[in-house]
Amino acid sequence: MTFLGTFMLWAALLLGCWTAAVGLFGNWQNRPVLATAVTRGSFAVCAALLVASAALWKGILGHDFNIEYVASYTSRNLPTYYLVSAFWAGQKGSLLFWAVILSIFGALAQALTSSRHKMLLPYVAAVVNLVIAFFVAVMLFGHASPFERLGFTPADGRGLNPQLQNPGMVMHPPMLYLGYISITIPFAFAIAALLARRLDAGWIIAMRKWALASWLFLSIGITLGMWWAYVELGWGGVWAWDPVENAPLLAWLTLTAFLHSVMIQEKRGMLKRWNVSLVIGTFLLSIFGTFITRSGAISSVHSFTQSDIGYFFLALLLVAAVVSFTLLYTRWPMLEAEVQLESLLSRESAFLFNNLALVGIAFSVLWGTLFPILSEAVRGTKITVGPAFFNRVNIPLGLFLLALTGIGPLIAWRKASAANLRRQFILPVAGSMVTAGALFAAGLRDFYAIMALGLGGFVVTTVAQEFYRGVRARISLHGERIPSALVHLVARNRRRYGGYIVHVGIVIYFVAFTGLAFQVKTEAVLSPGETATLRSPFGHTYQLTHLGVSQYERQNRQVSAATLQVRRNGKLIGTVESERRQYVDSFGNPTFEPSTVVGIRSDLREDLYVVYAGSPDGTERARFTLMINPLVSWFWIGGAVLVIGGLITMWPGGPQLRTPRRRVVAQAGYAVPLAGVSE
Amino acid sequence: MTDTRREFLRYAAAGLLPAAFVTPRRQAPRLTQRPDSTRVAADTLVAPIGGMSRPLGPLDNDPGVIAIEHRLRCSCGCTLDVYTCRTTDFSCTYSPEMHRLVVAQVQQGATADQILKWFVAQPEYGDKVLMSPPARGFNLAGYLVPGLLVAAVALVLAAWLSARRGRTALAVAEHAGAQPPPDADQLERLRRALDDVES
Repeated sequence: MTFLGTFMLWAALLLGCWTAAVGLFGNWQNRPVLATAVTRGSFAVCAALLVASAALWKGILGHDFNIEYVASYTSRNLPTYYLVSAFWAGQKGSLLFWAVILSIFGALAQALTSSRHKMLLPYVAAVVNLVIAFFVAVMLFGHASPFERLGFTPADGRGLNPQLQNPGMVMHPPMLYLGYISITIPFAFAIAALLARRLDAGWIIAMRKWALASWLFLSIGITLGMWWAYVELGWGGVWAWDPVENAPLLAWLTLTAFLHSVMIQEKRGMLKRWNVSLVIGTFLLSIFGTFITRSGAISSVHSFTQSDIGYFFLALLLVAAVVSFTLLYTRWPMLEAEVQLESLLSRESAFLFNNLALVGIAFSVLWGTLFPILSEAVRGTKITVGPAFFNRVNIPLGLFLLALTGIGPLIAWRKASAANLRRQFILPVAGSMVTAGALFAAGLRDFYAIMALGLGGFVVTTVAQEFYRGVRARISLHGERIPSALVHLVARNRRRYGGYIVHVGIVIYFVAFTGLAFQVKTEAVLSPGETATLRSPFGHTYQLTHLGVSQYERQNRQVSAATLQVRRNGKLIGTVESERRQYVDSFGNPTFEPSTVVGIRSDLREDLYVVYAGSPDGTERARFTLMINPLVSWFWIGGAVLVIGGLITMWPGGPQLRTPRRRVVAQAGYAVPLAGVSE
Repeated sequence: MTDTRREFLRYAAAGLLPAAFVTPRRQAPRLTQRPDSTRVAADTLVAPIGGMSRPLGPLDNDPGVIAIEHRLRCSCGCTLDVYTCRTTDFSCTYSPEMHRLVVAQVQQGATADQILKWFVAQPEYGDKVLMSPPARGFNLAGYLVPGLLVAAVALVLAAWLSARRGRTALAVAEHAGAQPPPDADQLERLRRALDDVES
């Protein structure tokens, strides 16, 4: 199997390089036969990598511990679903996973892209296959092949890190990888458009769904990562501003900026240079994220083991940046805007400021992530940039962005009149004031919390107003009932109303983050029968009575489980259990450090979060960390709403996007829309 | 981490659906019904996993101590602050030691600033022990550059947009002078186009 896997890696490398060369040469020479060969080459690369992946999976599922990767990340007693996830749990396997998924996406891009954009496809294939070839080359030349064999065959493998033995970790890394990897496709279309000098809206239309898919995968991946951190790590939070957590956020922020600014290009033929820059920047940030995860250049609790392959990614980052921006520079005059901005009070301006906020947050996160390196280079002093720094810089920018989330949809395109502003803003501003006032009256005094929730009220009222007006218009025009009008309204303009639902998801995230600021945390040592008391920020009291510790064995671990009986304001509501685990191999030998499994009782208002820290004296007397985490469930609800909105936005079908082929450059009011209509 | 496939699937669903509906609630083990569990009838555990845990110290829950520890980074490499690390990673030996140092200084009457300065002055810790760099000297760049840059770009953008507005108004006036007024058909197409743009 290792021979087959290695052979297929070499085949993929050679085929990838050949396909890239033919793609570039064939389009340059305008030879359609070569373009066909490029498509077939993309499929062949995909097939080779699928066979290589199957070979690795066979080794993993067959417990072939002579393969170094299999021995390092699996064991005989590892449950099957974690055997499957072991494919991407380690550095080497994840490189193969990246390459094979990119090859699938590349093949899909060749197969699914409309023939209207076929001029771009050879270049797209060239870019995608160059990236695939890079990943395969890292495996083959960077001592990172998952098919390396050991000089002996151990009786059992080391097993999977306990923190990775969590369903969140089965789904979180592939989702994040899918997001990172699929960014290559929009990037490839952007580079193809630059190479082919076809810089009309065609490449935007061809890659828009890929960009949306990347954004959706990244959103799901980030949310699952938060969920994993919350249920697995035992610190009661979801986001610690760790460099590896920051990396996908950077790409998500610039991609979000792109999804907004691309609307201006579609509607008004503006911001072409900016959009190309954002796509290039997003790809570079995805490679940057890969670099910091794999190089060990920046200390992180999440990164893979430190290795030299990070510097391959640094090289890719530099080469891709130089080539992309040089290409952009040479095509600069061809990316002239078709019309110019007319007013500060316009939706275009709101989107521009929205882009400024998103890219500003991305910059501040990048700046904070890299500042320790900068400080060491300039002053020779190592420093730490922790959550306090990121919160101080990003909370004001985040609130600004939240305000723009509500303002953008309310302002008219081109230029808003005073009457338009009055009509649009009265209700949302009232909604914001009522929310903030009610919270203040309820005793909330935290400035940022009131701001966040007040602005959340503003955005939600904006969205509700938009839905209400749309539904009312449909009822008036078509005589539909409310549910039918609502469905048709969304179906007729999925991008717009799907986007509004995404905005609601973002507001819910803000609400959840605000709630976490009111976390209650304490430690207690309890003997069986003793009770600890916690007071919730919502006013009620929990009494937690220690029932005892039980010990037992499971498939691949020994467990000590402590159980607490939970009463709320004296009323029994159930129990919560937290565990200490020692993972063992199939011979009963410990494999990793002992780990903790938190106990969570969750409702819409708050989570009761219990961590069993162990026994101070070898008896059932147990030490606990006890927390109340307000509004945490809303992170997952917000994530679900965001995903639903994203799916609606990218759902196939619906009215076709109509992009004017040519617009009149003159700014005079009548000429601009008439040119579009007359076509 | 899961015990059964059913529980695994429920966890998996919780990752995709609102946790309010499906987040698993851990039930207490039915000790009498679990054949493979070893219920400790007396008060001694067979083998405490991870060894003995620390007993609770007198200032472990002290808000002042916690506030100081939130500003100190654990030196084990976990990137967490001392308080979060010592209440999360129970195998860490660094954060309990740093906690003991903080408690000792608090008991000697040192203020929070004095304790932080003491840690920074220790060769094994240095500036890196602070969760956020002190806002002075070169570190000011860390705090100020992002905000200043965003503010500067916002100002430039606003100024540029204002300038554009003047030029656009002029272009509209010139164009209006050169073109005949639109007829009813053109106005109707204009209205439809604007409706389209608005949607």
